[in-house]
Amino acid sequence: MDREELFERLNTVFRDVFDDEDITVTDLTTANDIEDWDSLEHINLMAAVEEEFGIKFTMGQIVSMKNVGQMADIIQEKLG
Amino acid sequence: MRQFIMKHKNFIKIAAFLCIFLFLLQTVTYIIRTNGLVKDRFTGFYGEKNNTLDVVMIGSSPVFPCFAGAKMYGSHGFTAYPLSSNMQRPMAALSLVKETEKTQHPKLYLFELKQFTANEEDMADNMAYTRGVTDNMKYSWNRIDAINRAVPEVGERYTYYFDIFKYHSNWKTMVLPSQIACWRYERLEPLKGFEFKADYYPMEQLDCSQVTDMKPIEADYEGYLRELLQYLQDHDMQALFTVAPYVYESADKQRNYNYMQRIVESYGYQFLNLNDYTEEMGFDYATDFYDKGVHTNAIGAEKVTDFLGAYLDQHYDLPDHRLSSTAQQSLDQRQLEQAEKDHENYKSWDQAYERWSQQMEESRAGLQEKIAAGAYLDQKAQD
Amino acid sequence: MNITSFQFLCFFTVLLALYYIIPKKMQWGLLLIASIGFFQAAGEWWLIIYPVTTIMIIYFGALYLHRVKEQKKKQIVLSLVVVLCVFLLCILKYFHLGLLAPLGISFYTLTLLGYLFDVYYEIGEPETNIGRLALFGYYFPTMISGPIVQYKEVKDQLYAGHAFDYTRVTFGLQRMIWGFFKKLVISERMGLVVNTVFNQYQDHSGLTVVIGAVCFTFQLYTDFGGCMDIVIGASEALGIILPENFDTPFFATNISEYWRRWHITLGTWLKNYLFYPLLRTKFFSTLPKKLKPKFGKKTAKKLTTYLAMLILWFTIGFWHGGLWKYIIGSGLLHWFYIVSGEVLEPLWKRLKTWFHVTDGSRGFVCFQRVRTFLLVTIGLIFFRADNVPAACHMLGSIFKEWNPEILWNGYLFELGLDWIEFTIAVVSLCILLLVSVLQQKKGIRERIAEKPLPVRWIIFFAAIFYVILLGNYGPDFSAAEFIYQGF
Repeated sequence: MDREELFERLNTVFRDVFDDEDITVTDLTTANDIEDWDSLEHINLMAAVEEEFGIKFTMGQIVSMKNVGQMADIIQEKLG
Repeated sequence: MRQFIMKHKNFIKIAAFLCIFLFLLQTVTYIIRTNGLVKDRFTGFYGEKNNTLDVVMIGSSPVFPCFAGAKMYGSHGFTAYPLSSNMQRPMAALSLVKETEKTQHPKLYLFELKQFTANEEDMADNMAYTRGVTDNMKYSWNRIDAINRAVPEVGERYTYYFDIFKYHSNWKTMVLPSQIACWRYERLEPLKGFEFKADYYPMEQLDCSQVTDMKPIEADYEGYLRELLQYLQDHDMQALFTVAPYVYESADKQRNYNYMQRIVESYGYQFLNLNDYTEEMGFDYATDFYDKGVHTNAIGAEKVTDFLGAYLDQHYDLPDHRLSSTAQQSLDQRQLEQAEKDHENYKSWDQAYERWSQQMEESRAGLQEKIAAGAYLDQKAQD
Repeated sequence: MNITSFQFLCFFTVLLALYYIIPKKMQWGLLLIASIGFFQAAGEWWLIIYPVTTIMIIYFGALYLHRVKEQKKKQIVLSLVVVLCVFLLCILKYFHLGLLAPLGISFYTLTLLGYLFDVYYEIGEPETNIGRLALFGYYFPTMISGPIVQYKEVKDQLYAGHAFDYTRVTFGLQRMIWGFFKKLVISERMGLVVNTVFNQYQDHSGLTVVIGAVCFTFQLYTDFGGCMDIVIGASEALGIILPENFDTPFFATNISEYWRRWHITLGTWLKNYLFYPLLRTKFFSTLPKKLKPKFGKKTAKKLTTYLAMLILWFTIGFWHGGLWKYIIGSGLLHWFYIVSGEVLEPLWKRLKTWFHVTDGSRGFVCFQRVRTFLLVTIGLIFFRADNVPAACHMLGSIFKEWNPEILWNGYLFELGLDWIEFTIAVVSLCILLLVSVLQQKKGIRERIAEKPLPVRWIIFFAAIFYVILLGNYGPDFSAAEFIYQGF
């Protein structure tokens, strides 16, 4: 899957989770850029992303990912 | 030099900061040490010019309401100053001698021995008695030594070394001019350490003249006494060991004094129990005590002082610093000028005697009134 | 050894001097020895069995977790180690060893467990040198009452050599003075009022109780916050930067934000090692789907979160001491605040339009801060009161009497602080507030460092003597322990 397509799908997930149709994420998007993205929503987001791509993050990845770019890297790696 | 400073700039800064801090800490502590008569007495001692004291009187609370240095000066011309605090602990005597020797070289040390008959158990618990001495000394190695001797609990000593731990809650007194004046712990005391007691309590003498046997004092105290005597002997200092008049709780006290007399005399020093001379001084047990036979009042003090002053003048070679008319007659102009110049250092003693005489008259009048009315101390307290 | 004691100052001075004299390679060894000494000075010698045992367990547990790849085995070993550590902790804490219990054992246990979890989740590598691991767990500044450090945050600093850095050392010492100011000048004073009101709570009502409760909030903050300033400052002087535990918590505008600013490292720990794993369990990850048909997607998600939060807050409360007053006061009550805040969101919105308030306006923010402060204070009444009934009694008694006259009839000065002492407390709180506000824009120490030397020194001497003269310590005062040390 190329990066563009991945981000398209991520956008769908984000819009769904945060209930905001205007969200467009980039490599550098962080929790600070999205109002409702707190520690609680983070877990919901993770669950939604996992469902979308059919993968499973480790706890280490969940705690340590710094921005959406890193998230995308991990997803790409998992999908091979 | 410049290079050295640049290279060690930070360390010099740290050292300077610490020095200023310690100086400020010392100054602040001197200022906020609890104000009162004991502090006045010690700051007064430090305030005396170097080498102007002829007699230093060391001991507990019987000393300062009884031996009036100003009066001795007025009558005999020598200067005597009390380094005494309430329930002074026996181990403090040696520390106070060492402290005195730093600035004064008195011809005579006078020790009052009542404290040596106390119970260590009663005294050790009470840090106030230790602090009466150590917290009134200037910072020095001798002070640290005095603390180490008096405070057995090693873990507690730091609150004595740094007495700000105790006195910082006195910060409100920092605004008092009298406290600020103590910033160097030197401040002349107008009465030269004497305290007037203008009340009386009728007592009767406990006759112990037939008691000649002895009873040892506490072993520790005997050790301190011997240590003190040894030190005096080694340093060739003159000393007189006395007991101020008071009513013994029991004949055992007389036995204690008999015991101490033997020790004192064995070192070649003189022992003078003033209780044995109350008749000669005309001391009246019914009117001359301030409280229950422990401390003398102003009238009693005058009698004891007169006797003791004359005794010291007679037995020891003490100078006369007064500018008396009889002495002046035999002097030529240059000698006279010199005498006046020498006297500069003793002017405060003239003033002290004047003040003492005036207050003595007031106290005497007040006391006589009370005695006539039979209004002694306890009765008043009950009212 | 209390960290506001003269003994600690001596201990620290000697350590600091030695630390920068000896070769850098030996520095961490010295810290380990000093930390053990510090720990031993606090209690019976045989208590060393506890840290030695836990460190051994954690050390070998972590090595095993790193080596074995089989998930099942890993889980079993992890559970075993956690249960064992918590069991040891409980023995010391709850079975009347309380009096003998060494300092901050809960903090110590959480710190080491965090390390173990990191290895388990493959976030961090295990430490192969047991001495280094011991220093991480034992490090004396954090041992008393946190901050709870994460191994990955400090490992590069703890064992590295540190050259003497004038600015860093002096900044650290300055921060310590600030901590002493909070603890000795403010907290101890507040404590006098707090004791009067809480110890004879039956005798007080109305505004008096409110004052007592507010004083306790300040007491706890300046006590815990002051302790943090001292230990973080001490550590900074040693070249080791610890994470912050407080970020002006009373500037928070709601309870969630308050908990991001108060006891930050505990929050982080619980989030990473309790809350996230909890939400990722099968039960919680499938719960929204099960609830969805009944409540709709959004509500289902929220309900799941509320349930997980309930467990989290219960744990926070329980961690403070297993008593209901803690479980309610610093646990469930806060859960209730947050949940009710969200559930009633539509109501708040309507109220806001009624009163024409706009979010972020100065007046509204101010209101939010005061409200949050008062909500926290209510929780702390439970925390400080003898027990839950006593706390309820106190809360009820607030409304029993309307007595504003105590503000001017002099009664205020009979609660433990006369008017001079009271003035000092208020002035000191104002200094605290002022510095906190200034600190928001630029660090106060950096500001002072820009001033010329005489000005700087005058500020430092003034601060030092302010604490020396106005602090409540020494033979005239009974030395109080830090409130948080027991947890």
